[in-house]
Amino acid sequence: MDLGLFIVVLFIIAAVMRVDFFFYLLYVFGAVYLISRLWIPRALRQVAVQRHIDAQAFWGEKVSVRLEIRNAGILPLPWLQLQETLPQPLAFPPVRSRALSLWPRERAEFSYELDCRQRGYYAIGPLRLSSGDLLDAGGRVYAEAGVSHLTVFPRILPLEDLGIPSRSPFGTVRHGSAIHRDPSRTAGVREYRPGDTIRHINWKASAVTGTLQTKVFDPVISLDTAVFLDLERGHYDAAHAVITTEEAVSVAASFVVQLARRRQPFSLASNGVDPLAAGDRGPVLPMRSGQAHLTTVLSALGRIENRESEPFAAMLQREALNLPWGCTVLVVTGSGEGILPYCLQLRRSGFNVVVLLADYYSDLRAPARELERAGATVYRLRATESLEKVAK
Amino acid sequence: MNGQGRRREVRIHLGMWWRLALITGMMAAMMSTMLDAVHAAGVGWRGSYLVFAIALLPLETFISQRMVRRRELRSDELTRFHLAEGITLVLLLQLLRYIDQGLPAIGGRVERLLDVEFFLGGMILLGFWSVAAAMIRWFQDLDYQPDEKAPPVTSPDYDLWVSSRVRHVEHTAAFQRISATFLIGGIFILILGGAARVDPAAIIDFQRGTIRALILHVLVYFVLGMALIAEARLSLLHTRWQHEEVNVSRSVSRRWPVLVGGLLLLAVVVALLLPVDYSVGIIDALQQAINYLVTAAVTIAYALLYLVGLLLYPLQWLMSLGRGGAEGEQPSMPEFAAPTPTPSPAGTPPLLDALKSLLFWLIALGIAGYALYNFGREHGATLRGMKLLRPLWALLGALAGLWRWLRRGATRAGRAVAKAVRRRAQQAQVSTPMGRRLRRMGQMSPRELVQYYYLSTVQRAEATGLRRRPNETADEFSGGLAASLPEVDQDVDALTAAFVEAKYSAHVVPPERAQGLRPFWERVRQALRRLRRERQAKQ
Repeated sequence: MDLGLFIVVLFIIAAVMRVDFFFYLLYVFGAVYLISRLWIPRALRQVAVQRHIDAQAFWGEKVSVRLEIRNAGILPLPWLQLQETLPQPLAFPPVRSRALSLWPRERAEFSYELDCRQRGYYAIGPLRLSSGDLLDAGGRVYAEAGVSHLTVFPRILPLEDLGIPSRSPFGTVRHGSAIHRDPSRTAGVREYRPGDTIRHINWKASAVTGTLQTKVFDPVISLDTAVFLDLERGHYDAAHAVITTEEAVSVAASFVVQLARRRQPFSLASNGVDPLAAGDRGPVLPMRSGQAHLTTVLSALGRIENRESEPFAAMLQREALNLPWGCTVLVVTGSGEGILPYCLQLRRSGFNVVVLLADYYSDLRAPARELERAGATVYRLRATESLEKVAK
Repeated sequence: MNGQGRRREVRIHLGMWWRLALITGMMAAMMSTMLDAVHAAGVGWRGSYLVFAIALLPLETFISQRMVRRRELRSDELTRFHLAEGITLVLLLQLLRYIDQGLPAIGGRVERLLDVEFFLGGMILLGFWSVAAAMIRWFQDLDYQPDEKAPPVTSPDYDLWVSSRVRHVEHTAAFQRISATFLIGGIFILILGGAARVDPAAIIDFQRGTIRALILHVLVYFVLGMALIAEARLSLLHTRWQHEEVNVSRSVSRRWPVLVGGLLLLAVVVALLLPVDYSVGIIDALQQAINYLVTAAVTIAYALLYLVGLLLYPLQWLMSLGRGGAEGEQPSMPEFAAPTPTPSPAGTPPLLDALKSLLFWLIALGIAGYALYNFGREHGATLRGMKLLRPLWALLGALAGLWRWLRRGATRAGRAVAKAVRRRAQQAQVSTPMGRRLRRMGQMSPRELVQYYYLSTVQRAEATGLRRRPNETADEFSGGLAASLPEVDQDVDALTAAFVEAKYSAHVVPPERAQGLRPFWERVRQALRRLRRERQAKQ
């Protein structure tokens, strides 16, 4: 029997019997019924939830999420169930629940940790709130709080682990034609000539020789690095594409970190899908240096999905037009299929082309030789220890 | 076992005793009310021993169910066990009766021991016993059983778990059964309690007053029942949370009694503030209220007429002077004539009593109506499926259909009227009677006349379907208009240029300039009329 039906029957009995106590009972039950139905939806509307979480996290990091729940209203909530929906790669089981009670103006906290073991762009939430009354007169009431997003950066690996020489083959290198002189590379001293900047005068040598001596620097060319990441599924062995594409993203991220440490400018272009980019396009980030740029690039690599938005060759051809002269073009690809003509073209245009073949499950000796013949520096990556474990 | 698990165990343990106490109290209250009703009916039955026996039933049932669980009795063993238990209980009841009333004089006739009281008492006892057993079983079903948690699918215990009883325990159904038992018992105790206070012959006497009585047993039943439902609700929530592996804050259990107490206190305060007695039935109360409202409205109308009379009196007096009337013919000052009140039927209560009764009926009916509305909304599908209520649904369906038809008709009529009014207004705008228009044009200054020629052209064009957009300039519009009326395009341009000049220039517009535009205007007007006719012919 339902409480509502009971109230109707109680009204009939009270009206027939005309005992004042029955009318009191009718009012008591009526008030309980009304309050129960009206109270909880109103109280729940006054609950404010704030989720405190960092927007980005490094691979392997444990991210703490703190939920702040506040009852801003004047009505208490006898019980409130919070159910946070989480991405499965970061939390198992993918739900965190808590039940609590809130007095008016009371604040409560609920924390949990996310284990960032897989890069990606994740929706944290929504937080589902449910509540109900004390006697089950009004049923369960639901509300939902918003979603936050977390970007887990790709795994950063030491280059040696990937089978690449620790000393990067690109970056600031000596060059025959002086684009500019690097003040950190002093080659010697010479006599001061009118027009030389006084900032480069070597005062000690001047004191020793008795004439003004100015420093002579090595002529260098600072090579900007353009990273091109190929996520075309056809360029990776289908059986292992999930692992090797992931590894390719990781390799690209490791390189940009290395470049950022050397304070060199770098750019990123990929044909993978960036969920935040308009029109299902891959990320194309301009040539910059600095920590802020590194964070932007790592975020883009964290978000990128392992499916192509366009053929890699088309993207490479289009974006190569915007490259600064003399920069290094670092291509991270699976098998290197279809990029040979573009490598030749880039090489002829004066770019330093480095190709990293990430599909280590395939025999890539032949394509690597062809690319080398075209003038590119080719590295074939080897599986990292952790990935080998996964593969096994 | 972790701390939380231990706490939960202690809570269940304490909770079971608390539940037993509540069920005991409710059953004793019910039995006491039954005895009251029996005594009120004039039957001299000393059945207080039954109250005592029934108060012990929940504890006995709880213990016997534990024994059954421990011994893991089979179906036939269980039947034998309960049969023996029932017989023992009836015999013990008789023993209690003899302790209370003393041994009856048998006089060598053993059958005298098996009198009506024996059978009646036995039946009541067994009835309460089955209710107590059901309540305790439902409460046990309400609690989370550790065996409910499914073992891993790969575990050998999984198949056993799939077929086990605990997997099929319906916690929510158990709560609903407890709640329904309490509410049905509540109706039963209300009827018994009312029967003990009200003479059955007086029930149909609608003129009798309200009986003032606090029925303690009924009060005890409902207070304990509410506490029982609150406890059951908390248990159900805890069970759900355990199923969903929710981390539960201790504050929920700690605050629960406080909040239940607060809710009931608030409800009691509200109840005490509201009227509970009424001197007038609902129809009479409504009639009285309408009567008072009509009287008040008529009095106000009389007062307004009196005020108008007072305001007109000086004028009337002056007019009588102007007519040179004699002193005796001068109008007299108006006097306020209060309306004659509608005679009230004999024995009508005063206004306050009627209002109080009306308020009472409004509140009581409002509560019942709201509850009924929600019940209908929540159980609509079930109610619609009931064969018994089919004629009612048919009637309601017909009424709803009639309402929809009336509403649709009213909407259509409203739209038609609005359309007709709009059309008439447009026609009036476009086709102003010639005489009036010419008279008005004759009164216009040359500048106004030039503007009129242009604006009336725009209006006519809009009526023809060449609408001017809100942000369109005069030149832009004239371009479109000239394209639609190629035969008078130069006339349109001339009208537009003259309008722009008249509207925005500071210099004087000579009358001959305005007069000179008239042939252009008339040509454009005729062209528009032609176009409109053509368009209507096409439609």
